[in-house]
Amino acid sequence: MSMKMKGMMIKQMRGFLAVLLIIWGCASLAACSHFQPQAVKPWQRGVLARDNMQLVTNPVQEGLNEHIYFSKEAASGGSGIGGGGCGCN
Amino acid sequence: MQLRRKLGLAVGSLLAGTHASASDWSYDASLMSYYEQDGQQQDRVSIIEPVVSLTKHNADDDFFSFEVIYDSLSGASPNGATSSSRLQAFNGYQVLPGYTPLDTRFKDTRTSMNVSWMTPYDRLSRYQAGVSYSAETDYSSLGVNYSYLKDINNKRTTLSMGAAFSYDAVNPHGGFHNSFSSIFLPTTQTLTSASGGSGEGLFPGKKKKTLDVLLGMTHVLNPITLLNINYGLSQSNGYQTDPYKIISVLDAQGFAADYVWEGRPDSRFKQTLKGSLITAIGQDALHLDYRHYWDDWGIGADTYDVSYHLKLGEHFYMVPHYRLSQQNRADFFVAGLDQSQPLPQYASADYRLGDMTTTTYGGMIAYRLSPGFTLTLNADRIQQRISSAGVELAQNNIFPDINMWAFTIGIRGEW
Repeated sequence: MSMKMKGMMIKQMRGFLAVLLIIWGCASLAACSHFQPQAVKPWQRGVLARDNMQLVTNPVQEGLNEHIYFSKEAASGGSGIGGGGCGCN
Repeated sequence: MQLRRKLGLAVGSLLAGTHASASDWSYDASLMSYYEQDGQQQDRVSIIEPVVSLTKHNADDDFFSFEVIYDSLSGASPNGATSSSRLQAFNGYQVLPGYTPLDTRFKDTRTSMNVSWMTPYDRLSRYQAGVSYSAETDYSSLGVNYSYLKDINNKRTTLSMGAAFSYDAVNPHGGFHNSFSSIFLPTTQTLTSASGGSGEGLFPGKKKKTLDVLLGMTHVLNPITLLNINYGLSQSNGYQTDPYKIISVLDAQGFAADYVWEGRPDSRFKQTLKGSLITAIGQDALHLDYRHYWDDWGIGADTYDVSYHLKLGEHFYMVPHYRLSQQNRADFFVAGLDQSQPLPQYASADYRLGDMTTTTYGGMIAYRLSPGFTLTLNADRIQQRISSAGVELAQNNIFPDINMWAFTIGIRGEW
């Protein structure tokens, strides 16, 4: 078997294991009270309004981190759109 | 190429009515110092990067933001050639036997400005738009973006649809070179009309156009947990070769007979699927992120991110953080070219397109002196391991590990 074929099989196995891990993770999380769906009234949103519950808690720091990973890895994106371009990759 | 700098504005504001600011203005200023060294103890790039961001809040989901970023980069960067047991000579510098060849003349500055704003359409919908411009000595970029956000399901769910377009120009020092031409030949293309570019104007050089689309959903699972899922597409057309990267052409003994300029496709289609989960644990919060990335260059990547926002009293908190990213190499990634074989259509020996694992350990500490002033200190240690297993002409692991450190001091607050 060629090295390329072996590499592709390893990649497929890795993807399969990742999917299994995600399914297992979701099942475990759903069983936990933190992740059980529940109706939320407007007056129950106090915790969600906290600074540490925002999707991005420190935009400038996350922008700096994104700059590093964008410069040093081939993969990028997924969080948002827009922002300045860069010739660093 | 687009940097997703507007994370906080593009995604953080998705959930209507959960996070309103009581102040008119907020500010955020940071200074990052970045340094890297490889496993052969060779110093590489260092960066100083200040950022200043100002936001005017008019009402819930109604703001205007302005951000300025400046980067100063210097140091040494791998040129793409393989290490050798012989002394190697390139244009203007030499590399000792056994060492990964680094071009020590790397130096650049970058200034970037971003403007963005959000305005409600009605009680349940709003839009966010932005304009960005950045300029380096050899690269310039202009971008626009627009996102529409709609609350449904009694505001438990927010849907978003966004698009961004950027127009970039590459203008390398020393002009352009034909892919796979020897680096010892004179520059074959300069910034004239013959090179496909222009030496004048705001955007000199060869062009690249990128269209990004992002579809997102944020859902309140229960009073203490949020779920966010984004699917992104990105199509880039135009010049995407790194004009400074080269490839070793190896003879039968594995020594470099020549060095040639790399060549990459002029089209790239990327996709991302990202999920984020945030849950409160008492006064603390746990953030979990997973991103799957794939593109038509053959690159795939899985990235996991976990951080814990630990509250330590009324004014003090810390955020330990861990990130792991694994990527597989591009179809055209090579260690070198075989002198006896015909040239491929595309090839690059840029390690960033190789099989790689990136691990980050770090954390932030923050102290709130008053509502108008919070001091933050962030430190990250990042390590990259690049594998040459299965890469043709790579006799052993030819890519040394890379160790990076990033330290940031920041102040933010409101008035």
